[in-house]
Amino acid sequence: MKRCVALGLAAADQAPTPAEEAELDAIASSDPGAIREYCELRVIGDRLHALAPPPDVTDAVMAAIWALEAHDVQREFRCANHRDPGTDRHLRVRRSQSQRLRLRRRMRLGIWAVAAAVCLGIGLAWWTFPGEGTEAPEPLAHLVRDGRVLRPVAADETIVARSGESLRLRGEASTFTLEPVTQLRLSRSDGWRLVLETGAMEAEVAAQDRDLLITTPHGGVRVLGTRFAVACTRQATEVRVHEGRVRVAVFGGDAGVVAADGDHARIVDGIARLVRKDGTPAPPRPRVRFDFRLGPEAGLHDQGEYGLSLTLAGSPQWDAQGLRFDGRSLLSTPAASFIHACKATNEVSLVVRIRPETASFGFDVDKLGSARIVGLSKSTSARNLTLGQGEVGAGGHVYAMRVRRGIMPEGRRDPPHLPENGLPAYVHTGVVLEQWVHLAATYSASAGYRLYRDGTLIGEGPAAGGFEAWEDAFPLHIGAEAGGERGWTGRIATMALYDRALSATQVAILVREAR
Amino acid sequence: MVATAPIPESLEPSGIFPVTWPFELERPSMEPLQADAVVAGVLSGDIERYQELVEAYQRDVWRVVAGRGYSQDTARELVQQTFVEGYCHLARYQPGRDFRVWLQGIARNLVRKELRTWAHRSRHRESYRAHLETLIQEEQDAEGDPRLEALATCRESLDAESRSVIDAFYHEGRSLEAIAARLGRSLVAAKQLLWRIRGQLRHCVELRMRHP
Repeated sequence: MKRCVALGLAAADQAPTPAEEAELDAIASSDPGAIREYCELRVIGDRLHALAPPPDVTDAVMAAIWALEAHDVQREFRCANHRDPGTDRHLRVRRSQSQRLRLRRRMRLGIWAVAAAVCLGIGLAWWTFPGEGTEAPEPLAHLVRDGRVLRPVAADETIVARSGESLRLRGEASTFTLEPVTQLRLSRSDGWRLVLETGAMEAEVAAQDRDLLITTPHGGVRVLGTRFAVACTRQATEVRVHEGRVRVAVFGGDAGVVAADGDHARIVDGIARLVRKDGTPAPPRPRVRFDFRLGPEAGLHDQGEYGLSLTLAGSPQWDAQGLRFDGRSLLSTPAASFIHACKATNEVSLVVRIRPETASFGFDVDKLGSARIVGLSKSTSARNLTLGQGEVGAGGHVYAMRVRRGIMPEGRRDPPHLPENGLPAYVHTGVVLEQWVHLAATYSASAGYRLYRDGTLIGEGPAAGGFEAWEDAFPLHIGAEAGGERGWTGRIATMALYDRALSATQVAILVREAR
Repeated sequence: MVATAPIPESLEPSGIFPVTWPFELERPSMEPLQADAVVAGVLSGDIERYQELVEAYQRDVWRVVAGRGYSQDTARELVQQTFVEGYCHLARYQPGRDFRVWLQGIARNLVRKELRTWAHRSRHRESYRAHLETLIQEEQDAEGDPRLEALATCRESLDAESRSVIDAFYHEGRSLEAIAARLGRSLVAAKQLLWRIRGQLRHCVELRMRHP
């Protein structure tokens, strides 16, 4: 019994050695009482594990289910045959010996039939078109398994993938690992285009000059060098981005959403949106973001995608709520990357959380222009974009947004029609003094200008062209004009820039997040 | 061998180990009717709603699957597998039945299969498997695991040192060496302590099963 206890300790508490295992086996054969004692004690220890909190398997289960659903075949078949090496080693196909033999016999017959048909086809082609069958069109891609090329893939050929197959584009270092039963077509004109009919794939796309477009029945994914997964089911298209950026949009709809590292986007019911893991809508991702509540060190560094660093002139006051501008301070940094991105989309959004002060006023929008809160400009007379605060006439407190848009007709250079200075400005009342407000200004070459305060639309204006004339060299400045003029007085907590026009829903999400 | 391994910094100096193991045995947060509604939603195409079922019932499945001889990783896989199988056969679930019991039935079948694979390698494992099969059958008949409930209660009745040793080994996954070092005892002494505590728990569980 003592020996059994010692061995039981080894077997139950730590990995037993082969010798200990052998001894336990000997006891099991020779002393049923002792081995029963061992079992009863061991079960107590083992079951203690069951009292511990369980590991969260929600994500793994849902991933397996989405992979199952991605296959457009009957559910029972999918479940019986699905194999996901990461999660469910028990879902392997189990066929009886007789089934296997039957299958092998059928396969052999099938191979012979296919071989005969191919030979007949080649013979007929040779006889009908002598000399023309030798010049096959160059394939667009190759189907690959374990690094071995299986076969070429021609333009507009529909592929139905088998387990472990991936698609490698010709002349590109881009690979698409396909889930079994995924259906896909491929074409190339101005860029690559993959038509995902159904199924799922993991994509690793090399950086390239032209766009790569993946379309599904619900919408499309525009890609420039990234790693992501896309799955298409009957109801929705799901995109998970591991690295880089993709734009996910509905055909004929708005510009869609940009999903970047770690984001999850979904097209369902004709709408593309970013979603969190729990399925609730996620806020859009800014290209540039500063959080001044982090203080003078971290507050001056961009948390967006470009890693911009603001240079400080003057002595604004920092506190836990952010930064207070006194009308004589300025933060600035070059922002060519962001300007370039806006020129590509012809859209922009500027989102700030500010607390305007009475002392800001004194700038008559009609004469001197506004006090500058945020801008992308070179001087008081040349800008891409500026959000300011000022007055109209006697005491009307306003927000003024100037956007350089469109091309001015030749010869018309008189104020207030100065496109290089973003005039005419969009001017709207609704300034709330000495209170924190969430302000979102959006402009799109197609939808025009909108201004939201705390998520409520307080002003809008018509579209008047795109950003063709925007200057890459104009710096981003906060608190004053690029040269230090037109200083604004007030507090600012956060500032974010987007290269797209946010929708009212997205602004509402941002307002909710800010609270 | 006397343990000389450095003590991990995460071990707290006060007491032996922090007693952090939540032993609550609360029922699932989802009512049977609510579960039926979610099942109906999933079957009508709202697949994302299956997540609600996974979140609500993973503790119940875990308690069937964990601590059956095989490794914790295998137990985790079996929990996942139970939910995937459940999804595949969701149309066979009859509304009005207890979804938890239905899911635990799937889990028990998977456990049995896994135990057969695990046990076939040696004689003593086969004996243990037979022992576990009896217990699993009893659980199935009782639609629950009264022994597990008793074990949780018995664990509460242990003294603080014994409880912290049990928690450290079975919940936090600390090695016997680390436990011995923290206790200031030899490895052999720590092993014997663990063995003794398990003996106490076994005795306590048997008493509770006889006199519930």
